Amino acid sequence: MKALIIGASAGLGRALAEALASRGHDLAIVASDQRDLDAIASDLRLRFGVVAHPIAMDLTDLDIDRLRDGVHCALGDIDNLFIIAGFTDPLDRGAVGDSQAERIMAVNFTSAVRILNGFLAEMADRKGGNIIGAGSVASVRGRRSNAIYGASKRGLEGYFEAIRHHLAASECRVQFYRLGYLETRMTFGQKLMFPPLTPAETAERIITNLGKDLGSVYLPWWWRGIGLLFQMLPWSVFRRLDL
Amino acid sequence: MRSRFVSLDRHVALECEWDRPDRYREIHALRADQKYIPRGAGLSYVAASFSDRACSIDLTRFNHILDFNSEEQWIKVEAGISLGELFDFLSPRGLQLAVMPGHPQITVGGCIAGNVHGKNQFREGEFRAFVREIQLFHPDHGEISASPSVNPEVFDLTCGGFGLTGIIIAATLALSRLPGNAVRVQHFPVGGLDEAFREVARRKEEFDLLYGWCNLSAWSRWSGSGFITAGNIETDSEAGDSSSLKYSQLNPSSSRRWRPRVFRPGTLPLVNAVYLGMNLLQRAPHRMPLSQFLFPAVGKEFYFDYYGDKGFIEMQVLVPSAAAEEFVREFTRVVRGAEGLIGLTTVKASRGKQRLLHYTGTGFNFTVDVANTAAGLDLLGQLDVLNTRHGGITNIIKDSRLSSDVARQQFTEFDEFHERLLAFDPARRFVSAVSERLAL
Repeated sequence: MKALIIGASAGLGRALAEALASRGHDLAIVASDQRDLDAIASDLRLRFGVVAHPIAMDLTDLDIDRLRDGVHCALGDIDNLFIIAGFTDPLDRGAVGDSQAERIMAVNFTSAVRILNGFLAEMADRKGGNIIGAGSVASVRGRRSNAIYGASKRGLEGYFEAIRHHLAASECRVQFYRLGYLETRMTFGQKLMFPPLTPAETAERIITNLGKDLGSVYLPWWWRGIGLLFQMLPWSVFRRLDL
Repeated sequence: MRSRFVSLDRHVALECEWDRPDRYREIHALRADQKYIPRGAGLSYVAASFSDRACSIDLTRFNHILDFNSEEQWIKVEAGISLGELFDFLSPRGLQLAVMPGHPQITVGGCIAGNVHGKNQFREGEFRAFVREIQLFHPDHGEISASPSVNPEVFDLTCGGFGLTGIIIAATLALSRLPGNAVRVQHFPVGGLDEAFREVARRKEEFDLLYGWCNLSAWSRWSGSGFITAGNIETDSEAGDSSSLKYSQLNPSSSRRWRPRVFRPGTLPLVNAVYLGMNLLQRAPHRMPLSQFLFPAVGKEFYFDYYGDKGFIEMQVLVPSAAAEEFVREFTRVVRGAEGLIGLTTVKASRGKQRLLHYTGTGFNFTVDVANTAAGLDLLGQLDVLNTRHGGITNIIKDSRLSSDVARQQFTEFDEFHERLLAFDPARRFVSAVSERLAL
């Protein structure tokens, strides 16, 4: 099997790369920093004997042709596409500057849409293929913190739903995960209301689900109840919450 | 973020700043106006990876294998890789790191900073001897390559420099052939500490791996009976074991509150007597997986908790060969007249040349774990005098209460290390609770 992972230098993307490589999958891994990617790619090649092709690319300056050429050159056609990259800013509370707002939207939404579009035609023909997107419980309801991040992830979820619909007749599965707290750089040092999952645990669950027609799901599952509660809160209560 | 860090011996606990970068650019973004200290697995007996004046930079996310050449027998790794991960990679390929301390969770960066040793110090010497090159980051100097031939000053200061020169990002390590993955182990009974020293000296030519254990807990203080564990790697055992090492994670800084104090004056002698008996029952040569011999702390992680919340102090002293006989005699006299509770006593053979603050030399590597009580601290104070008088040096990364004065008396190049460190880093950006205690 062959996979492309967008956002592979840290957190869930890196954990997915390790978990897939340990199962013998050849990989193309994408992130912004060449040195981080080179380290991960060397490690995967040496430990697991797989093809691990690093493609350094800033998602705010996405070159979809270079990405496709790089992937096809190294792997040929891919079976699984993982769009995991995420980015937020602590100032994303309505006060974030224009360029940073652009960056948050680019990493979390527009680049993901363009990458999906870029690989959609070949994925549609892929028997047993999977397109996996990573969202966040932060997008369940618009709130003052993580405003642009949450909105971008909600937009991405909508797009994944559309793609799932588009590929309904094909054998390619489209899954979108509303991820709960993860032990990553994004949550490091934060006081969290609920226990975080490790990226490795999350990666294992995602890989176990490959091939299933899941659509949008919470991971871990128990966030579903919290999400529902959140959505049902009346505005008169919600507006008072410092979230 | 803030976190409460505790040394493995539980003697030091501090609220510290903590960061865990996972990208190179985050290391390069460390500010030049703040104090830092690198942190690996956080398993040093002493507070070497934290201070209430510095931010601990956790390197466990930097655990990649960067390059490897099995023909030329070297590997380049990021400093946060653990010995267990390396063992898992190298063992099936018939290779090994020649020097490994007792728990697989320990990181390569920690091994370099502590210039550690293993169960074969008399053969292989110190960890530094197997470090070909390091990549070091310091906010004022940027990223530096250092090896015995390139920036040798920096290399010298960093190997065995307790993380005080900066953040070791990566290292190239020399490997050796792994003759097999099993050890033929024997236990030889000894009647006392003096006999343990003699037997270790006598048998070191015969065995690849060797250490002695004596029971100096209260009831047995007069006899000190024990055993020598000796092993040779079986060359006919397959070197290609591909099963991963399984072990419990050690985390002295975990927020778990309850640590029952099992080791007490009334119980410890019994525990040690049982341990001694169990080992002597296995006197006949028997086979043991190499990993079990190399990492004896695996499966015995409870040991570090059983001294209770106040923990213990490990005093490890390198006694010169020529002074050993007299040292053992005086040590025995001091111990018999003291009340401190001794949980563990081991002796290993050592070889090497002492320099800077390296815990290296030719002689005996003698370790006692003493319960952290007033009587225990009093006993250790007496032993400091004894060690110094016999030309012994105390292992700085083991002993949480070693004073600057005692260290200065024992290490002839103590001041030289300090001066060279100041010359490299006048602002002293990297500090730990250990460097502060030793006034380094």
